[in-house]
Amino acid sequence: MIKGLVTIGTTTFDSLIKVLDKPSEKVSMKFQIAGGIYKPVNHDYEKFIPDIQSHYSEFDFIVTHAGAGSVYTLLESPMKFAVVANVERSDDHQLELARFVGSNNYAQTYTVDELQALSLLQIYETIIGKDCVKYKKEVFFKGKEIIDYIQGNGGGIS
Amino acid sequence: MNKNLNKSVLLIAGEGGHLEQARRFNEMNQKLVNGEFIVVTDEQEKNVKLSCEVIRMKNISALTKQRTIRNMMAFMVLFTIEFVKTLYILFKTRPCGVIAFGPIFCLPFIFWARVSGLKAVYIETWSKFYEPTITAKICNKLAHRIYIQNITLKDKLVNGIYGGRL
Repeated sequence: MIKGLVTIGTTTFDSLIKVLDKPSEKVSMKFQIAGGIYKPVNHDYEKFIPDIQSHYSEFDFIVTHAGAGSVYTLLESPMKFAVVANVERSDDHQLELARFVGSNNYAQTYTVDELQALSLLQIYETIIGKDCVKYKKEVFFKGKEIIDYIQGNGGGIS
Repeated sequence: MNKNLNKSVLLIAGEGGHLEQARRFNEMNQKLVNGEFIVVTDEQEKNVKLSCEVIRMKNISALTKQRTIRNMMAFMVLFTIEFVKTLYILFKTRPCGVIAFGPIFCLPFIFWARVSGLKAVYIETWSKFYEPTITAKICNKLAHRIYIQNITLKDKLVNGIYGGRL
């Protein structure tokens, strides 16, 4: 059985949970639903999964909301995953991050509408089959400058 | 490590990705600070493991994600109560400065730092590439320094200092 995880962070994202709560003989899902009203009927779910990042490797694929904590952690891991922007929120934070991931080909991106027509197996096969670019970043290098500035030890801008 | 409380630095962060940025900043720079970091957050679920002192406010960030009039009014009331409670704790701790990671509830802490004569730094969220947050636009004027994690924001925040990504 193929195992998939859906994680939506701390904000509700019922439309994503609902669209992925499809019966499947080959794919078993686990949903992290936060405070959502919709409760999955075809797969397991939990409100929150403590230290969820340490459980990623137990799954064959992950579908995540475009929350930055989840996305950057997954980009830095070897996991295969897809990103879905949560447009149920009032702000557009997640659209920008999903666009960043998609336009750089770092991972598969979907909208909730696009997931509607796909089976869980098709979603899994698309995520696994996608030839992604390896994520690289310039690691934050201003920590010492900031601390020196705050603690009065200099910290001039370099 | 020298635990000089008068040199402690506050890291202000909401839930989720905001707190993850504070966690990473703490991990990367803990050895550089002469004193310690104290994280002030409203995350309740303890999904993010923090290796420093943490002050937890009641969860108010969630109210800003669905911006109805009712939620905004509840936000103002709850935030005022939590802010006063937190300031009381901070008065006893006496930090030497503030580093804020968003969201918008960081603003009063930045303002408080400025009127108290402390240094205030804002680090714009790593999830914005094309248009800064409202918090960043305000901190562009309010904070002593503002740092950006995505170089694409440089044109939008004239005072933004690029620092790489946490």
